[in-house]
Amino acid sequence: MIWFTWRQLRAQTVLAAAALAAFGVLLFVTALLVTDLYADVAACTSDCDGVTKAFILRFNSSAAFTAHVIALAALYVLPALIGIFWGAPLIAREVETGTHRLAWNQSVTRTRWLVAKLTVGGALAVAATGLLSLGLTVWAQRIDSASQDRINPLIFGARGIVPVAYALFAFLLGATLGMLIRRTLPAMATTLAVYVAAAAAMPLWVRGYLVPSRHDTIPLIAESIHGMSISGDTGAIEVFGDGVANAWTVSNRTITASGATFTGPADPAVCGMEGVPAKCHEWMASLGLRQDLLYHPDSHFWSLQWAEAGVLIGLAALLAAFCFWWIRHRIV
Amino acid sequence: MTAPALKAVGLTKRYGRHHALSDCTLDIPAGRVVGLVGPNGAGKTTLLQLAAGMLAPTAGTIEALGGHPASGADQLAKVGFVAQDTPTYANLSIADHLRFGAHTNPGWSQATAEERIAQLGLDPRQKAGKLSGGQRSQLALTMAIAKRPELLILDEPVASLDPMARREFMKALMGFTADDKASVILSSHLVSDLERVCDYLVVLVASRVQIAGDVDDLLAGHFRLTGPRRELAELPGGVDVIEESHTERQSTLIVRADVPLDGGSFTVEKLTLEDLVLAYLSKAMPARPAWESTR
Amino acid sequence: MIEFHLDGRSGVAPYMQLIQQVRQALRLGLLVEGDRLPTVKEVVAKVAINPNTVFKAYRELEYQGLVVARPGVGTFVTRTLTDQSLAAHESLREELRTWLAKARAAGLDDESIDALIATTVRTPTEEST
Repeated sequence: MIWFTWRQLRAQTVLAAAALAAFGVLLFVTALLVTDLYADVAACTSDCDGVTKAFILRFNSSAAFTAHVIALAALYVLPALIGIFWGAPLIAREVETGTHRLAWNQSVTRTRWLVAKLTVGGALAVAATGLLSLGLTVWAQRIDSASQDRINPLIFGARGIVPVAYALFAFLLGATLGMLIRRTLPAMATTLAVYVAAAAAMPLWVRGYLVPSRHDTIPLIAESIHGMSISGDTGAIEVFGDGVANAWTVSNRTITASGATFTGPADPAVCGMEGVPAKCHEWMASLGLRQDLLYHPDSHFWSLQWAEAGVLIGLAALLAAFCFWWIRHRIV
Repeated sequence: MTAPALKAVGLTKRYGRHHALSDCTLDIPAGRVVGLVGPNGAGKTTLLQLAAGMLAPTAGTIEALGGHPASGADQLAKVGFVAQDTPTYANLSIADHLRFGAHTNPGWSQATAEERIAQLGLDPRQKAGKLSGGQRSQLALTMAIAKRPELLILDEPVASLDPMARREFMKALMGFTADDKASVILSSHLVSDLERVCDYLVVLVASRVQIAGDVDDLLAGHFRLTGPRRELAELPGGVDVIEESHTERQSTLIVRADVPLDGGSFTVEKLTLEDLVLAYLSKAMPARPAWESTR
Repeated sequence: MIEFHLDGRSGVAPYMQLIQQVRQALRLGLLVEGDRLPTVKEVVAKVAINPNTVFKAYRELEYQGLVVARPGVGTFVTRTLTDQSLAAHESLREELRTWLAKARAAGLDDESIDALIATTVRTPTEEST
């Protein structure tokens, strides 16, 4: 049964392996470039901030930067592709063409059939994303340590173990939807839609709360105001202060001394249409406002990775359990 | 005593309010070639899928060879099922299919499978998607036979085949039953497909079993009576009228009789299997006036 | 070896057709003592019929004392039906030809001839009563 599932996925696996190999070559070649750029930082023994900044600047304008963007995109796209091309057709194609009636009448129970399918497909999904994520995480070590922003949601989702969990989730999501929808193309489209929604919802609404965030309240100074919006009608004002450096700022409110969110009113003479922004910022700073910050520092990286991976793997397990129940009780 | 090939008690399958199969009770002995006849939509596929465990009944019970259908690997090994339209994996080769069978069936006979493929003149490297309908059903049959089941269930195996492929398929199927002494149940909406091969017949119309029994017994117990028009009350006890048609002077009756018929003023004739089945079909589907008038 | 064929339209039960074909072959000398009949598998693979039908026909032939089944070897002819009558066939055929010519000359078509022969064969003759 395992052989047969492998046989059914063979063509796609070969394709995936070829794509991964191409990526390997890309990462290997650009890794040499990064090593060259990093030589100064590596040689630095003390007071290295300037050298590090220079490395980041040079990296950002090098070909390695493009490679990094491509690799990031690949790690976001790969789980979706796995869900669409491995997950969705896994059961849907069998049911659509009626071959499940052939498969289920060999001397193998439906449960074992599904175990084999999910195990082989899941293992391939984990292996493919795992290899790519491992490659990129190792490749980007120097960049991450220099720029200190791997907790930034965009980078976070393409590092460590999280992509693997996304791939597993996408695979089971596709398999489940395929089983319910029973037709391959609609199942693929639905998988794409649901997966994109889930993958977007995660950093927007879920990730920030998986691990308790750090809470700080600091005085708002003129230099850290990077924006404000003033309502022309009511004069209500919203002030945006800078986030925390080398951390992922989840919530950033400007509050008054009493702890309420600051809403103005703004002095129209200083901050109105004719006002000079610098003057306005100075006036703002003189009000004794504070920034109320919720954030995840770089040190939360691995605990967040494990927590998010845990949630996704949990979801995948629930989907798998549902598949087993459904296939035994509902499907024809 | 060997368990019956198929035993159903009060078997019912409903989809919402639609009855696919109603209160079906059967006891089919093992070692027979069973024909399941009925018009399209009568519930043949439902009954066969219930027997193979592809479906679960809404009410009642069904056992195949004394076991609960598809209840485990042992039961699956004993019962072979070839679904309607004989599905195969289009992008896999014949050899892949045979390897699949070998990997998943403890009783698999690779020699049988390869011999059959060679007899059919097929190249094992050929993709199943490139086969003709007849070749595809032969591949599906080969897989079912090489599995060496004790009961082989086939759902409309020849419906989509041309007469040549039909004959070839039936030859292969009968060769298997001669070899393995297995029980076979196959369905068709045409009696002519089954006439030569079946020794047991089940007629299913409008989700109900109309009659089931040994073909020889059925033929020995049904007659056509033709004679002057007279009242049915004059027929002796133990005679059931299945179908009747009258002209002004003449009556033609198809009857089931457990007692000898002396005939009297009626001419007594034996029926062919096809006539017998047609009589039960028209009995169960009275809403077809055209049928009456053509008889 | 005899090859069976079935006529689906004849109305004669398939097992009876098999018996008739064996008897016919025995009568015409196509099968002689010691010949093996095809195995059940060979028959069903040739004419696509239920193996039980073949078993039944062979059992009936055995009961009639024409063949004997040797388990694992096959079913063999033990007796022919030609006996002395085969020698008489040629002269009888000649007489029949003459009779047919007469019948046609009298205006009988094939159908009438068949009917006449059938009714005459079925009518009990003086010798047999």
